Amino acid sequence: MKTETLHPLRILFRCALGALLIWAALGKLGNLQAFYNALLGYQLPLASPVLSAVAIGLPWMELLCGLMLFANFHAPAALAWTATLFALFSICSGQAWARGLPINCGCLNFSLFGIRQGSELGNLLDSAGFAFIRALVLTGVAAWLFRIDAVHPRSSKTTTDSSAANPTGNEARG
Amino acid sequence: MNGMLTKPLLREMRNILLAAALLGAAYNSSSPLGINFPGAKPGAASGAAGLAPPPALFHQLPIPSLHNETITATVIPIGSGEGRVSETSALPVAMAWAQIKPMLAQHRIILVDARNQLSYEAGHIPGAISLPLNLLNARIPQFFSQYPKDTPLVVYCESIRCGIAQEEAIALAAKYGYQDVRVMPGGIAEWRAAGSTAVVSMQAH
Repeated sequence: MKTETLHPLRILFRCALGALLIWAALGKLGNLQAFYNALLGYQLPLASPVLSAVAIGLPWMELLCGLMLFANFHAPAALAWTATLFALFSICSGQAWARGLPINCGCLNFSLFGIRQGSELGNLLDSAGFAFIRALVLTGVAAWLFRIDAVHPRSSKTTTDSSAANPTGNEARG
Repeated sequence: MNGMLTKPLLREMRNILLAAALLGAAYNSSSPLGINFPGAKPGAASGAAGLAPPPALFHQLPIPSLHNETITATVIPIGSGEGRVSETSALPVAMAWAQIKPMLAQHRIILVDARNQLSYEAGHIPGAISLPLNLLNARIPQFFSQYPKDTPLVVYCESIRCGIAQEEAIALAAKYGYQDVRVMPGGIAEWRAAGSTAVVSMQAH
């Protein structure tokens, strides 16, 4: 499939990733203590100050990356961080799943859709296994978008002009 | 992939990281639900621990009925929403920390923490008993043995957003027959906002 034909798909996936990150960030920023408690559930071999720093900084990383992806502002850097964050989260949720830890992943606030924490569906969506699979898929999407943006930076702000001047450039040849 | 990580890109990534760290630090210091940093687990140095009597003695204490108390609360009818206990027809009575505090100090109620065990161990309201919603069925026989069904219970979770306290209160009343179950909707966030300090525990109750 030629990259040119993927252009609308790139925008769609980039905006979807951005929206997802903003949603995840706002849920965490609403209650940092709950997010910190969720992090404790992963039983990671990290010192408490590191976990605190992650709980404080990660929601803002997600929010900034989400907004940048949505606005297509320095999208490659935001995508690189997004892929890194999802990859790290895959590892964390994967180890929790493998160890059978009874975690609440603390990722997304599903109450917006009327899915209550503690309900059967809420527990499934918040489970380590589901979080692991979701993070793997999102890592793949983010890495794919980053790769395309880095090799064919047509849609990023810094190269829009040159791409518009040469619409049949490298990107069209895929 | 290494070829894609150019210097300008790495510089932009560093800037995002710095911006997130600064925003996070500023937000955390101003948020009532912020995290103690660096690394101090919530309430490691608690002066309020004296409020908590040994849980094993609770069932031996005379527990007066709360039925004659004047408590301002709103009872809202509910439908049969997903995850809710269908046997009930109303939400449990809600209480604020200001109402709960004197009752707890006088051992007139049992405070129940509905969060998971790790959250409880990381910090809980002094005197609270851990009864995680996800382990309710497994833990309830032991809970029965310590707290008879006429024990006044107040259930809390993380904050107004969490909802599991209400789920657990409904289950305790409708499924397990507790006669006086209330919730503290503000949860540990409301209690923390009142300037209190959590108790850290690494032992399950």
